[in-house]
Amino acid sequence: MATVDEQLTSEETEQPWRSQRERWYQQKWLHLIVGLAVAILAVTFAGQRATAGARATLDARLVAGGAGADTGLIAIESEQLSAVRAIAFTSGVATELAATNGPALNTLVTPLQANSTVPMVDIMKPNGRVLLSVRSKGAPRPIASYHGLRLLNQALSNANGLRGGRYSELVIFRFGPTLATISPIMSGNKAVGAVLAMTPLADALGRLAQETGAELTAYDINGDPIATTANFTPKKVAQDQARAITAGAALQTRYVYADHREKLGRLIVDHAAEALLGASLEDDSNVTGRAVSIYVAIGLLCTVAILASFWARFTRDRNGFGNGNGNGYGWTNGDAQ
Amino acid sequence: MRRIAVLAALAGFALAAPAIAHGAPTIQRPNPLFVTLKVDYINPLPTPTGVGEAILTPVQFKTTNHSMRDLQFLRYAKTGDLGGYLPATVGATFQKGGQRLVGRSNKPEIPLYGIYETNLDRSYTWLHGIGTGPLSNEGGGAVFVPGLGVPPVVAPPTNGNTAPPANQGFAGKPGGTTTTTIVTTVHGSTTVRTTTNVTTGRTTTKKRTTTARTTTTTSTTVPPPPTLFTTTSPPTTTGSNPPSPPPPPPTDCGTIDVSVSSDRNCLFIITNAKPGDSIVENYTIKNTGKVTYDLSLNITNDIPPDDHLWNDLTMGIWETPGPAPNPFPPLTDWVPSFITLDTLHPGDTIHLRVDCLLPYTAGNVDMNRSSVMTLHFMATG
Repeated sequence: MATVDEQLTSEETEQPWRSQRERWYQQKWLHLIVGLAVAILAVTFAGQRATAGARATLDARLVAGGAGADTGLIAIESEQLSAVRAIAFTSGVATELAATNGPALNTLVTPLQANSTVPMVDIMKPNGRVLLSVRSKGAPRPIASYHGLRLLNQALSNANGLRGGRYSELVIFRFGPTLATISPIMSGNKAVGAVLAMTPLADALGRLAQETGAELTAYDINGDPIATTANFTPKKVAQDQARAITAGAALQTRYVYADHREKLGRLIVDHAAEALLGASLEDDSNVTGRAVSIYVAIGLLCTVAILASFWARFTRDRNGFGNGNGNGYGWTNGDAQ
Repeated sequence: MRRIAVLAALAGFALAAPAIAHGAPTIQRPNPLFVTLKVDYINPLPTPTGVGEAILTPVQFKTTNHSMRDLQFLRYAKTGDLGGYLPATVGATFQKGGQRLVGRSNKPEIPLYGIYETNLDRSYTWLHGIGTGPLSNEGGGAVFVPGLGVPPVVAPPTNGNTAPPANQGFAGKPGGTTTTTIVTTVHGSTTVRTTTNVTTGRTTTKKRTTTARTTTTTSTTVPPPPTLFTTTSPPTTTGSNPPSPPPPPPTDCGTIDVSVSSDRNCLFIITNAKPGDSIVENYTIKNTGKVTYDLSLNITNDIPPDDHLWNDLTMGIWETPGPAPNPFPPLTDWVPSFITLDTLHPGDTIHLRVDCLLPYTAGNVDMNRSSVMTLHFMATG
């Protein structure tokens, strides 16, 4: 009966490949490199996926914020329309305006302004000369004339039209960009003047930023920022891009300051794009991605450690049982003692 | 040569200065005063001079149609009305609201009067007077509104009831309140003495909140005319701690020729007051005699006139069915003299509703105070 050593020697003689040098794909270093590569790829992919997911969520918030801001602007326009209607249709306003009676007009108009949410109200003659100006505390100071204001001419010339000459527009005055709503004041069929209700655009954006939870910035048609709620100075938009977006191009995404991500769309007043509107928030998606990468790396290392410990234990167990003098735990009796 | 170069450089700088200046536009930033809207529910509209209350001149009726037109214009007209961020739902309003959650969609109880501007606005009114048809809120909301559920039945208070503790207010969560009422009668006058122990948080305070004295002219009968009668309870016996419950007062607290019945035993007692508290009492007054009487009313209270609760209470008295006065006049308006309410012909019956309200604006000064009111009706023939 042949011993085990003799049997192995005979098998090596019959199967020579067993004794040959290991092939390249059987090399340990290759397994190590492939394992490392897969681990690095897994960590990188997980981090990127997490970053992309967080960024997509941020983008969705920005899009909703921009849409909400445009909706809110309509609400502010509605408030201003309500104020100018109340003034234009109050009995006696047209008479006093035609008589150029400022004090009497003051008695009629000031309570209406105080009863509204509009901080600036101006009553003017058809030539643009302001007869009465009512300002909430802190609002920009009044100016004496709106002569040449396109909105005024539009209101007076369409006073008998379907909309009664009431229009809203974003007007950039010397005191800053303003959301203005105008209504002619009629005496019979004749416009004896106009009432202008205005809200500084930055204040309107401030209200909307609180509602939408995003920083809002308005840019003029040349791409210059004109009003913002952010605590930084936003970067200018390239003029071509600004005009393209105003004309109807798709939303643009950019980093407006440091890692503040911005979605650029249109600021809509009276169903028309008046300027650019940017909704921005700080983009911390890379932090999320980094955190996820670290978690995945830790997870992989733990998995490797657990598998290695299992492997080592299994190998030791097999060696312990195989030599016939073990105690079942991979130790010899002498070691155990 | 060098001078020419320097001059050229200066000239170039001077020419470029406006362009450089233009390159840095001023960015407008929000004014905190206007960002947060200040809603004032309390103060009246100021006049331009700031003195007194402003009076708004009537707005012309044609505003309605113009308003509806503006509202229609403000609806989304293009898919790009949301600035390209999201497609706008064309034709929808920019804000939703008025979703019907409760109530029933039944026939309007008031006739349709006018429809304005593309059916967006409509008004309802009676052509002659006020309708007499059945109202869903008849009897102070006795008909339940679908969707709101059935409110739990609240048992009417009895003399043995312990008043519930006042709300938390700004004084902290009350740990518990015990009220002891001692009623004494001395020489024909009744004194109601209320001692309240209030436990607030860690400290326990014992305070005497209100001392109310009520003259016991409970059923003073003056030979008609005129007739004077009150709605306080009849004289109560002297009580001690624990007080013996007074006998139930009669439901009819009227007098000869004029009967006055009340659904709250003709008592008007406020205990543990808190802003928003209201006590409602319904009176049915009938002229059972053969003479026409003028019915008038006066309220007295033996609490010192500087009592804070007494000065903060308001009291509305009106005939039902009929609109309640808005706002309620101060309780003190009913004090100085008798105020004529109505003329009662023989056999006439009127229903009076008396609502004593502590307004929400009263503040915490009136918390847990108590008061007793005496309503004197006088019938003058």
